[in-house]
Amino acid sequence: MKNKRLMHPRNIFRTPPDYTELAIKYKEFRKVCKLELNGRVCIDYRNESTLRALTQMLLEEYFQLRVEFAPGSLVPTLPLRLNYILWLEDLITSLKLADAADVRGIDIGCGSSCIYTLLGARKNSWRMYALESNDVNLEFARSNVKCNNLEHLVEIFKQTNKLIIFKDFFDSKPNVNFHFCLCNPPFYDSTLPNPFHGKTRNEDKRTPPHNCHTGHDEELACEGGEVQFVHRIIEESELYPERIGIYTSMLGHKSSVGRIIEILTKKQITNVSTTEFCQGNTTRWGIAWSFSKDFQLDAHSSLKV
Amino acid sequence: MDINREITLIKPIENEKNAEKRKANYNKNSESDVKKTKLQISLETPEKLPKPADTFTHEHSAGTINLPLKINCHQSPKKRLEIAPVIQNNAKEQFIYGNYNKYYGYRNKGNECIDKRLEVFAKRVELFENKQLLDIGCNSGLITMEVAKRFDVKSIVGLDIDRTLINQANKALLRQKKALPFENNARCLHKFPYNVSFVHGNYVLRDDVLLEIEHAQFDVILCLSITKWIHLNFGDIGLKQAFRRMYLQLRSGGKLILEAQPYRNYGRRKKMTDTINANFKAMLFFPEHFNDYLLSADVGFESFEIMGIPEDCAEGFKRPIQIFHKK
Repeated sequence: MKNKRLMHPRNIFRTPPDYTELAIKYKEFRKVCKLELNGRVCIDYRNESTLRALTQMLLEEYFQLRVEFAPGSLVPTLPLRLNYILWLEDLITSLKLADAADVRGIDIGCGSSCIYTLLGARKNSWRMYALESNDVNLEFARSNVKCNNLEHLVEIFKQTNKLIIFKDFFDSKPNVNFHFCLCNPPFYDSTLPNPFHGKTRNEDKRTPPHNCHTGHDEELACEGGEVQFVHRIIEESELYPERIGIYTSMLGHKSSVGRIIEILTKKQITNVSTTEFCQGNTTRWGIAWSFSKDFQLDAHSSLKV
Repeated sequence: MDINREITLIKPIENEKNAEKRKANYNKNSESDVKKTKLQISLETPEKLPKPADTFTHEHSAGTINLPLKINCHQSPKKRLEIAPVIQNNAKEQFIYGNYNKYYGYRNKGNECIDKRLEVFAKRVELFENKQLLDIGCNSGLITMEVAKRFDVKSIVGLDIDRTLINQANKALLRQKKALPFENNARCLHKFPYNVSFVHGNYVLRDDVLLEIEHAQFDVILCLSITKWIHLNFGDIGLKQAFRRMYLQLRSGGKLILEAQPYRNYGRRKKMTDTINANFKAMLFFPEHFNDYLLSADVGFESFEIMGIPEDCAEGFKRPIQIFHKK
């Protein structure tokens, strides 16, 4: 992995797992591996069913989580999801937001895998509240939580209104405040003529991606893309400044980071921090903002990359 | 008495004593010294003693003695000349995988290019032409490359457990490529030497379950003089797994060309490592059972035939070469 050295220090995937051993252990994973002449297995990352089997195996091996994905839905990649969770862990501990036993977080758009919620609950025993609007995804998410016996830590909330994120949820929980929210927004802008094509100058010269494209259109693109989506979160956060300690989101494109910071500056939200998630051949960005007077997000340099 | 005369007097007695000593040593130490055991099946005369005179000069001229003779000045004249034991190569590797580094010279009596097995192969050229081959335990790749060159194969991969040997093989391959005339189509047409490649690895898999994902990819597999080493290092289970893997890697209509060492060759190596010793002692599956096993439902070959026996080579290497057919 190219960005191995920049992965979060506590990320267990800093050293790549021994896939041959894992193939010996897990039958379903073995089926999607290729056996090389020298006895090692190799993984074809460009195949959707391989990616799905890979993530399921890693979740089971390292987190004892048995997860089913809705067919055709986004297959999460574990190192990236872990990097995000680890960043949140750092924010919570260094800012002394709460005792470990008491943390409450919101997952905006948890998807069918409900992966951030499950990781947060399993790894850190956080109380997670997962918001999701798609019915099929909701069904899978509920089933995943149940299968892993995390119902005591996780609550799944159906979003009836796609355009308003927090209102219905906050109304249903009038006296509860939350320590953080996280979001993995649809990266791409559905209004553009070619939403999934990068802005490369020369398509032929750029190497094709090392993995393959998974996910429904709805999970990947929305009107205005991630900038618009996060903009909406920001606007709603202004209405509820005290209800969530740290608002965070992931961003898929480097250019979006600057644009979001611009939006935050215009709204005079200054308690802001950014970070990079580096793993494999991809880099993503995280942005956090807060209205709290008790701490400064970027005072802790270890959080900022 | 001056030393020179001492030595001259003692020399004949020493010779006889040491001839006996050496013969005794010889049988014990033969495992560790492959290079010296050329044509070893018949008992040979032991090597000659280095002349005492040589040693003596050395002692005088330099300060160091580096020949196997040491002179002890404090004991009686008879004891003074002590022949040091034959220098053992235990500092060097023991070739526990049969990964000898001067193998082909030794096997082919110093004539590296003319491996007699190639003559046997030459009678059945149709097995090789335009086919995809695997050579298990290819050592420095000599046979691999000869087969590729002489029989116009489509591709041949040589696999060996010893990285140094694979490096040597790749270097030899590179030499071949550089020796070609400047403008030639060999690369595009995938002709020799571009139809040869080498891989470093162990043919025996970490676990039998990995066989589930093995797939057919070769028309012919060469398993030449390697079964003994797999058998000794990885036991009955390892060898059986290797046989099953060979079957799975062959396409329909594929052939396994097998040259297996007979059991009497195993004993000499049984003490090489603890693992080898343990495997040898626990052995229940013997070379005489190989045919039946390969034809059984566990592996699945349909039939076999004798391809031939190499002639004009050392007795120890006159092993029958068999072909196993996959339906």
